Amino acid sequence: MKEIEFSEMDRKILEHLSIDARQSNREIARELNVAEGTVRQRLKRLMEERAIEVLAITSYDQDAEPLIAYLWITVDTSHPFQEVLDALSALDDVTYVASLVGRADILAITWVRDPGHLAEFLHNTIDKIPGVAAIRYELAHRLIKHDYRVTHIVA
Amino acid sequence: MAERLSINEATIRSRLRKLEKSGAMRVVARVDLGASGYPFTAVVGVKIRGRAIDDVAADLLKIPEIISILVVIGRNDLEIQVIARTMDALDDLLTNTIASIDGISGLEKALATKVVKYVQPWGSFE
Repeated sequence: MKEIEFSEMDRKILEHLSIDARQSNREIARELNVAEGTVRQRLKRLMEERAIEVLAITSYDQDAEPLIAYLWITVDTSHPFQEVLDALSALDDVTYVASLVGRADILAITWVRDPGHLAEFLHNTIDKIPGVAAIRYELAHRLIKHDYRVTHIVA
Repeated sequence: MAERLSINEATIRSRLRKLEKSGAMRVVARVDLGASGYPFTAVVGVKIRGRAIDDVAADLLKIPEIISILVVIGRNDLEIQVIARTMDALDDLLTNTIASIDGISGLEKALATKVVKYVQPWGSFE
């Protein structure tokens, strides 16, 4: 997405909302000492431009599937690349898909209960996607940082 | 939501409130990286030698452009994601700032040329 201009006021509003989006416009307006209409108007614009999204996030520490798996996928170039991206993106269990330059053709991220679950997922689901030539994986067993205030909003 | 799940609306409201109170869930606003002027993302594997992983991670935590740090099993010790405003800035972070951290013996780098899915609805709450 193209860069849009964030005013100082936009940034201040987002600082509040990135911690707790349940705050009302009125509460934020009071804390920033501006009119409620200003906050409403700014947020409307940012939502319309799809520069921000509001969502529920869960605590990593309480997740039932605690292992994050990075899947480094090589694509058979005789197969349409986009179809492989689409097939991976369509999987509910896959939370991130990006095409890469370097390391592999595609990085996909998923969550698993244990190594057995990963083996099963790779064999039964990823391996069967037409065009997937090879998969390497890395298992993450601890999260030190994940900045949930930023994202890639995909149309 | 109540309709879709065939559950009473009040039940959903109270369950959500409970999850939020216990710290298991949060409702937040997220900002698009491209819109906020960070169109470049690198996914980087970090190899560490001669220094504790947590000590290296502590140095990486000081760099705000690193948005994700994971401890992994495999040929790398950490997987990090680095964002930047320009290609020059990304190059500087990777070849100078990060590479010069004590204990980092190797970086395996890739540039994410297009992110087609980003759900990742989780975080670590302090």
